[in-house]
Amino acid sequence: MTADVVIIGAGPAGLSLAIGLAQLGVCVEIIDEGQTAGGQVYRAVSRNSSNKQLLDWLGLDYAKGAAVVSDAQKLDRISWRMATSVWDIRCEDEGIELGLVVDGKVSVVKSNHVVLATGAMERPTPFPGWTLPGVVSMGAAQTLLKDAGLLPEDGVVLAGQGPLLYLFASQILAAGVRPKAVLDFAPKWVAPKNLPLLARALISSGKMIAKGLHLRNQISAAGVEHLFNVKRIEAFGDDSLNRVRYLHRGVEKEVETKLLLVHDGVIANTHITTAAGCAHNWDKQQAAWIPRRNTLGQTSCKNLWMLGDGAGIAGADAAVLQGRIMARAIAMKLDLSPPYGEHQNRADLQALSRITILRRFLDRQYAPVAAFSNPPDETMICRCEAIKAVEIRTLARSGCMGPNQLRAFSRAGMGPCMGRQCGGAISRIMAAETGQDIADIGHFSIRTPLKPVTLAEVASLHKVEP
Amino acid sequence: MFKRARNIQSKVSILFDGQPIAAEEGETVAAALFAAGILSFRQAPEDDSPRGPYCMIGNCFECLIEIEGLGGRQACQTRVRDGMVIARHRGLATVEAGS
Repeated sequence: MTADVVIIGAGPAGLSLAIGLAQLGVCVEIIDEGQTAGGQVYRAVSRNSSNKQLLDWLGLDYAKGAAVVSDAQKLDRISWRMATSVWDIRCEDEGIELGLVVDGKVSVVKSNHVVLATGAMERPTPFPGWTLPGVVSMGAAQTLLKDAGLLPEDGVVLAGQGPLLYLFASQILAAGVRPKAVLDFAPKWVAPKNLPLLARALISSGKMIAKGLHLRNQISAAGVEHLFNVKRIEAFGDDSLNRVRYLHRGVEKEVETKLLLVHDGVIANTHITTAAGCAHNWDKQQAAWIPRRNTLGQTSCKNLWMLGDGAGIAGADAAVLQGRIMARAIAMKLDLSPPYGEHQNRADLQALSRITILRRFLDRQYAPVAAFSNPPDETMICRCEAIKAVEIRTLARSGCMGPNQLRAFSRAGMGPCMGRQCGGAISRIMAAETGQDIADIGHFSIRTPLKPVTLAEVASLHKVEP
Repeated sequence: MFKRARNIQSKVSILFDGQPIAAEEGETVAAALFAAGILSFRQAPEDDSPRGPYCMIGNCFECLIEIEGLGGRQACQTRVRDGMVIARHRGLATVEAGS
């Protein structure tokens, strides 16, 4: 491999870092599962740049991603491995080894410097009935809109909370979709105890708060029922969803729908950092695990760096800033003169700290939904192996020594998703049942393969002469 | 249910459980089936419950489906090709007693 630095993830963080490094003469290789660059937030943005109608619906904050993508694509020193999954990562003293799979072909690459820009995932939302077809995450529906131009049909119900709920509601309203209801778990007003955080956020990022309020107001302005402080939901149906029951102001009600979109914020996706053996901290503010990093962005694994939402949620604009800041750090490490002057670096750091102040308010205002954090006994926690909350609780109470032992006893977390969807819930439920701190409970360990590869594909790596 | 915001621009045809389905060239298998009104992609091997795509970003593995004879493929990460043969998973795989 000729690249000096390998970046995993072609979202705003990875692209911004690649641009900074390439401008300095560093050869960079970007690996991404997507067909096109942009990550989840700017998914398919260059392909959509000629589709004015779609761009109108998705808004300027999406459309602006096209510039980041095309800036990166103009640089010769950036090479691309798209539609490529990383199924193995090994951090050794002599370098980092990555197992890749593209279109059924497996290969192994080695690099001295690997940067993870692997991004976020939606916080899973376990509730009774959430495995029914027709219950889909809100981020998934947005991905379908960006990637395939699919819209939810009229009568869709939106449930959960967080900025994406308001953003996506406004996007589909702009497209003329008529949702049946928005079941908002957040309160309408900011709680008094959060007002100091709101005040600071207003000073640092007043425009963003105004934008959020504007998006939220679109819902009732369109005549769509927008209920606040919803406490619980439950999905019903036979082969697929046909109705949703919810608790609002102490009264249980039902709404008929074929499609329920659910969201409870986003968290760092720590699957690959866990597999690599990075140390993680439980972040109380984001209620999620995040990989431990030094101030430069180096993880606890030698030569493995990390930036963007995968290192803690801060959003696309922060990711771009982080990319520029890290380009400077890596350049200095490689004994090159930094790509951006001290002046630019200071401005980037200041902009980043303004976003951090806004994030503190958002994390508090949209703290994880209690009904999803502590779901009823009959809720499917491990969707892959069909393990319910009651089984997790029973094992936790009977003295199971942490998530890994619980996994061995119950098979929870052993299915195809390898604990991506249930890992957080299992640690949380064990902590609640045993009265321990989640930081002490810990999380699943993760092993290769991170993505499905066939035995034949792996075997093809080691050709043995007869 | 999902609908297409605009008509198919560059049509390909895929087969789902023997039924031909029109799809947009380059879209994912999951998007093509959703657009055709198919939400349930498989029966879970553990309890036979119906399942379909949940996250669309390759994380939840609920969209697993049989593509070109190979089971357990991620429909949300696989792009359609003209003539692609796709089948629903039905519970646990069975193995015939060998001779």
